[in-house]
Amino acid sequence: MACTISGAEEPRIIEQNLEIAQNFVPMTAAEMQALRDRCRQYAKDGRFELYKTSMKFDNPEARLVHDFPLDTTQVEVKDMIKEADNTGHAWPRV
Amino acid sequence: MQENPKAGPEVSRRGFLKGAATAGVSAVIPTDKIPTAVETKDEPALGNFQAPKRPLGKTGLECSILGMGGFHLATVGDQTEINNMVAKAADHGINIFDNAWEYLNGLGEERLGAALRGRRESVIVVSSVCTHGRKQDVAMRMLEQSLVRLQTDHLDIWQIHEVIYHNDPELIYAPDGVLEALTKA
Repeated sequence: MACTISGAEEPRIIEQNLEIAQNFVPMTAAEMQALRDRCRQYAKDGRFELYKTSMKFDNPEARLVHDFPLDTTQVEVKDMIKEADNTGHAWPRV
Repeated sequence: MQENPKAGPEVSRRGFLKGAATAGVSAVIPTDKIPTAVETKDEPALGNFQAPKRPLGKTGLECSILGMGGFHLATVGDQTEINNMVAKAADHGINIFDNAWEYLNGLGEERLGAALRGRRESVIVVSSVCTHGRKQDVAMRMLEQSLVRLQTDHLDIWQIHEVIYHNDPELIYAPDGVLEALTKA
């Protein structure tokens, strides 16, 4: 890993991030492996990454360009359209 | 280039006194000798901290270990404030600024482009293309828009945004797809 990109919506966050970078001490190879081992059972099936595929976090435009079905009679799809405020029009008419 | 009155060294009376005390100086210091990053009580003790740099993969670029994202930055309402934030980051060695065509309908790239005026050559500008399976020509149009918004003639890194669905790889590699645009660019 070379770089961590962090967003900052106020100057304080930049200062906080810089302070973290200033105090950053890289983990050893053994420490990194221990962390991987500890996280493996929770990370391997994506149960905490629902935002990647769950319809709850999806939007119509993304589904259409990926050739996924978009059945607008489904309650879930109706909710998604409402949440996403996005009707699925092709770019640039998003 | 528009001069930003706040982009330079931030020297408050409290910060100046603290800096002078730290340096063991009680006499008057000429204004041109004031350190560029004087801490104040409200700020972390960053001093003249410069973020370390690392090789960025196989690109041949050296990036700071901390980079600045372009979405949240553009949510700050005031361009002057954004300029100050970018200046502060750059003053501490941050040299990589990430963005995407899609961020805030283009505002992400526009705000960063304005804030990087005069600094373009010393930083790594990254943007991402969001074709999501649309064709190569769409990607190239997005690239041209990104360049205009970012006020530059080139990106240091152009990457594919939001690879999250199981069929994204096949869409990316499809004939006349976005990968051909990346190769062409």
